[in-house]
Amino acid sequence: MGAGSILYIVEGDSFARLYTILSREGIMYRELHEEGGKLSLRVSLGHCRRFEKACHEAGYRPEQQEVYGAIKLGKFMAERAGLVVGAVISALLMMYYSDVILRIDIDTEDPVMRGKIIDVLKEDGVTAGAYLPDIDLVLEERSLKSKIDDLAWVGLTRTGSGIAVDIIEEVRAEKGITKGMPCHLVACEDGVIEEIELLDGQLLKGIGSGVTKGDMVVSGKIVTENSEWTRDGEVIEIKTRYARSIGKIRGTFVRTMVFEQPYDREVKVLTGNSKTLRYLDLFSAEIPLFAEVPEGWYEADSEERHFPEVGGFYLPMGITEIYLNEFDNRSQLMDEEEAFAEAEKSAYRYEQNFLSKYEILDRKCQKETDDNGVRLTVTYELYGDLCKESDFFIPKNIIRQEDEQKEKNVQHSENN
Amino acid sequence: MSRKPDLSFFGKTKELLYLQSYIRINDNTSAIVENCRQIYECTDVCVRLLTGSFEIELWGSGLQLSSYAENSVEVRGIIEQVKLVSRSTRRSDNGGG
Repeated sequence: MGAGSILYIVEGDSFARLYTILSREGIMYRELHEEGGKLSLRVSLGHCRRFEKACHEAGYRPEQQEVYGAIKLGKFMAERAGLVVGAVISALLMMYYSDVILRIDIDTEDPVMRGKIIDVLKEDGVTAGAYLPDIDLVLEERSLKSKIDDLAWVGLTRTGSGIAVDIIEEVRAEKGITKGMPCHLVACEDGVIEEIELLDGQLLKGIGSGVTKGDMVVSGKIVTENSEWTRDGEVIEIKTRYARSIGKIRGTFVRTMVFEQPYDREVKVLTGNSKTLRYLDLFSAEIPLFAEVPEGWYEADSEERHFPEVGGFYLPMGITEIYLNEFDNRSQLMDEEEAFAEAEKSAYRYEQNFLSKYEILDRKCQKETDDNGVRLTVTYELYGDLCKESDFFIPKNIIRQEDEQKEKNVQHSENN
Repeated sequence: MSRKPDLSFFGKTKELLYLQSYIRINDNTSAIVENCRQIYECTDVCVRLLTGSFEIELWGSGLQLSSYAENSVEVRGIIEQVKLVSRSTRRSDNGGG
């Protein structure tokens, strides 16, 4: 009776012949009982025709009262075609979306890394909406590893209709420890030494000495000579020690900077027009809800996400609205005064960013103009660090000789 | 000392050919009767069936009959009494009456 059954009511005085027919024909039925000259029974769908035919032959008139099972469901569905169409569409969509990327989960909280990974995935066509069977996850892993230097390991896994990107970011080893390594102090500006604070190293220049860029001011190679007079004559003992030159060499130096400002400049001007772009967010897929991309130049003003919340959890579908303001790049002509003011601003920004560690002793400005713009030449007289550390390497052969000497000394002492 | 056989020749043949009626009763809720030849009556209180050797009467309330296979029926409802009347006895009673 899986396909369904029909409830029949048969009226008559005696049902003996009907019982005989049921037994003879092998008709399957259920819930048969007589009551007040009426016989009711449910006949399975496959036996309905035979039952009705047999009833008519025997002189009974069966009446269908109700249908059960699949037929009932069929009739129910036939009256509600929308449900059937909806179910078919849902099934088709499920079939389609089961093979399409809807969501990309990246196992990192670093927005920069997340952005890099999404960019590479986009380049390779792995975005929301891409057909999953066409994507070779192993090749994609290799692509990510080769294109992003900061990734030590990456693993891609298919999770239903999504992709999970597990990563291990590269932990950069600390730069070689230079503390204790030998170095010189080398002049990084052309100037005059005015102050020396030296803790280690051999000073090669004194206060008042002028230095040019690249001059060695303090050497990390300290050579000491010790001469003794013996019966055989003068014996000079030379000792070399390598040290890390530590100290501050301060002095006065001059730096000249040129700031140029053309009369013609491009200015971003807001036109006052604004647009709102709406996207349907379905998991990670951002489906545009607009027909065409607006033409022109726009800057994003704000972004709002409207996701329904159920019990403290946000559903993975909602609407994202991006508010845009239109702008136009317009050329603006400045007069000489305005151009010099802009150049002065540039100079001020330079001083704030690059000269904050120096003391500005003097500042001389020279203004020049030509047909295209203005030029502001600023000469700074600065006081501050003149030197910077410059590491050097001790040749291997020297170390080897020193080691051999040490070994010899040890042997001598053992022999003694 | 002679031994009286439990079954006649026909009885044994029926047993071997599975022509006997098999009745299985589950509590008082249902009864399955196999090798049912004919249905005589099926009302709320009484179901009468004919098998090879017996006329089976099931008494109770809310009785209903179902048939899922040839020659076998299931009686559902509250069964209070099952009565087996041998067809030979019935015939002799009818003949005597």
